[in-house]
Amino acid sequence: MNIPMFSTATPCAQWAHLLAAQPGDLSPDQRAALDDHLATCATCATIRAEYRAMDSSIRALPAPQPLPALPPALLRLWEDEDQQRSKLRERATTATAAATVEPPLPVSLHSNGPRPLTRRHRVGAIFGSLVATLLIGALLGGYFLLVAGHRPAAKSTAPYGPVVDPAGPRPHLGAWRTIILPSGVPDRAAQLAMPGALGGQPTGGATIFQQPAVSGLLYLVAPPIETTPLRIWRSQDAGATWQPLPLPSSISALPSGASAYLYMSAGDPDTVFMWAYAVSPQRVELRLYSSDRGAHWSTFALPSGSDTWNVAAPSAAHGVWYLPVSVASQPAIWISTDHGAHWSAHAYPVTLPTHTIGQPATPSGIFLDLTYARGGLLWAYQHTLWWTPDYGAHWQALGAWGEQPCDALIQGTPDLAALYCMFSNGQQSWQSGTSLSSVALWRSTDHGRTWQPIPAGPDVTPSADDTHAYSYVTSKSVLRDGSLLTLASSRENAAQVAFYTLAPGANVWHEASAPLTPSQGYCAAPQGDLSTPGANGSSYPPAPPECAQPLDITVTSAPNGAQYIYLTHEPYNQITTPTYVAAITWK
Amino acid sequence: MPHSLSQPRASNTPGDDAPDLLDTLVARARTGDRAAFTLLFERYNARICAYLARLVGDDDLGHDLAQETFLAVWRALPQLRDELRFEPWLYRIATNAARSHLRRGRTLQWLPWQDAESSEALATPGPEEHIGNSEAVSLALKHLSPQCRTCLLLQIEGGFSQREIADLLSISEKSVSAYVSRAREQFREVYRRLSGERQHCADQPHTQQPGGTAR
Repeated sequence: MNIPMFSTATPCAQWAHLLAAQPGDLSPDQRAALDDHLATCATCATIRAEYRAMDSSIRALPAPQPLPALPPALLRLWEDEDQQRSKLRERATTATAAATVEPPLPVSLHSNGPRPLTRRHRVGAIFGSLVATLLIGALLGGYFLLVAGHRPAAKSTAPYGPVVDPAGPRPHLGAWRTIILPSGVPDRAAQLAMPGALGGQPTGGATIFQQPAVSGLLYLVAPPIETTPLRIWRSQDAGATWQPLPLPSSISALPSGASAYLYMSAGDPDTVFMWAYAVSPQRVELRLYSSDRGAHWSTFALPSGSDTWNVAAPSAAHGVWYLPVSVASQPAIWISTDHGAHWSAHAYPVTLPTHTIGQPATPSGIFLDLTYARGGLLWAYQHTLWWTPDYGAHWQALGAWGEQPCDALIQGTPDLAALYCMFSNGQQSWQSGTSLSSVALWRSTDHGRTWQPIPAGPDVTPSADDTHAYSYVTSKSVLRDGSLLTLASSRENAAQVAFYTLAPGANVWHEASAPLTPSQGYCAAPQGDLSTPGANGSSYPPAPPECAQPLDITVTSAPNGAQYIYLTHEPYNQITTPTYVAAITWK
Repeated sequence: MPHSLSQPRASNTPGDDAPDLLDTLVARARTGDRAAFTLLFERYNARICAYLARLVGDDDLGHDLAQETFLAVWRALPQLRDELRFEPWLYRIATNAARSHLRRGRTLQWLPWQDAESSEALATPGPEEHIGNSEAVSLALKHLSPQCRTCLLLQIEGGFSQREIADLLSISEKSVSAYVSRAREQFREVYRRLSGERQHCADQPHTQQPGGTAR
């Protein structure tokens, strides 16, 4: 820094204030007058130059270090707020429990005339990419836990958010019961008896979807079978009772075997999107939305020119619809404030590769998906986590993780104090499960700013090439304290099949107490590469008849604050695909 | 009806965000959104630390006051009436944190704001430190009266107009103008003296160590 020695001159008294001001402080008249004066007064001209040098010298002072993190007092304040909130919830739960003779379990015991629930099933490769794109939206839908009875927060040592005491209570899985579904949900036997729409492969069965922001609000969608059209039910008590919902007559266009998915976000508890489609005997797509939790449904249109192979989950928040979709080969976030009548686009913060219509953008199409969180949208792409408060008009890079990119962002807790990112090395299964041997998992406890690698799954893999050891880490399997729940199974060691949890502050997976053996238990998954089924689905390997494989787990919260885990598993070569439910307690 | 794609406006570094992103962040933080507040903190952390460190002439004290400031901002955000005025409001809280600290600790005498046109004695004791170039700048800042220093830093560091500074400090624009003018003249004079010392010291490098003796 080279500062001229200041002169001893003093400015003309009547010009001193104007000289000391910044140009923006002066009116045009004042500026002109000052310029005139400076042209004739060498002293004032010199002093003005000295003032500019003064500005530069002050700006050039070495900057002190900024604060390393949010003030500790503020973090303590937030922690106290969280604890108070938890206490209020606890009180509410106690009151609810006291008013009820028995806790309102959302299930009844399996009785005669079982109505097994089928989950989505295998689809041919021709569907693979589209289904993956659609499914990931459901998986990443975010999981907001508005539950009562939060366990006492442990003292925090991390800069943000609660860290779980490793010696604290652990989730405990209770006994399993078979879920009783509303009457009329088709038995898969009927479905199998049909010539399937996909060359004999079983197609999507009834599926449970949950609203991430409302405890106990579930939807059950049964796709069309034979002459029975698509149907949908809603439960507001975590599955204890179900109400059928009306659907428009346009759903009759869907042929038997069509698939249907619902999309919801925590930003708008009332809006539900339904996407139903079939590719055989001809391609049919139907897009419906409801603004009143399914009481009324209407169709909506995509932005014109949308590449329907590269569409991610539509969603809504605060009255705005947002839809990641490619138009003219350019992926963007399309926004509508009038239920799809008009769309406008915001771009992603990085230039994404363009691609040909009809070709999936990536093997899984993951990269377009957005996660609603705390009033904004999160987007994980390669090594960076982005956040936008206004649907993509502005972006802020939040943080970055390790060498591998992030494939799936998993929202651990509503305030993002626990956030996970999963990388699956391109071998993510067509199911929700992911091969343990190809997974990397990172955790952030500071709203996504810094990331630490954590063990991707419990060590149940006996060998590195045990590529069919599955771990089901998704947004649907986060417990209320931010713990991850995974169901791990190994092809080579059938005994190592159990639920495991990883607490937000821990680095070791613990087997959840009460290992699961719903009905038959599990055994080895079939041999062969399930991640790349053949074009017509025919390359699925023959399965050992006695085996079952877990298909999906969904953790949901009931209005009374209890948490339940729904488990669908698929016995190979058997007709039924039951869904089970167990209550999660903390011990 | 599809519209053409807008260009992404990504921002990685604080300070280069478009103003409407700031409004959004402030609006969200006002409703208790901690993620938005954290982004605001990151955006202003360095600037507030620098402002406060220079205002009180001490980096560590500046840190303490910055912590106090952000805590106070979080607490007071629900009362903020106009998101557009967030930045001056933030600096006002930072300034008040420094003022109340200085009053408490009597580290420096902080005179009540008064009409700057009225006479105020220039208190610029002769420096005795052996100083370098940027040290001379820091020291010259330290020797300004607190009011003058505040106005000058808000103008140069904060980038505020004199009208904004007047609103922020609840004084008249005319007073701000006078304080800034006086600050600049004080700064020139003190820096001149300090540089004079420095030249003097350069001739006799071992004679002016603070508290030390000639070797």
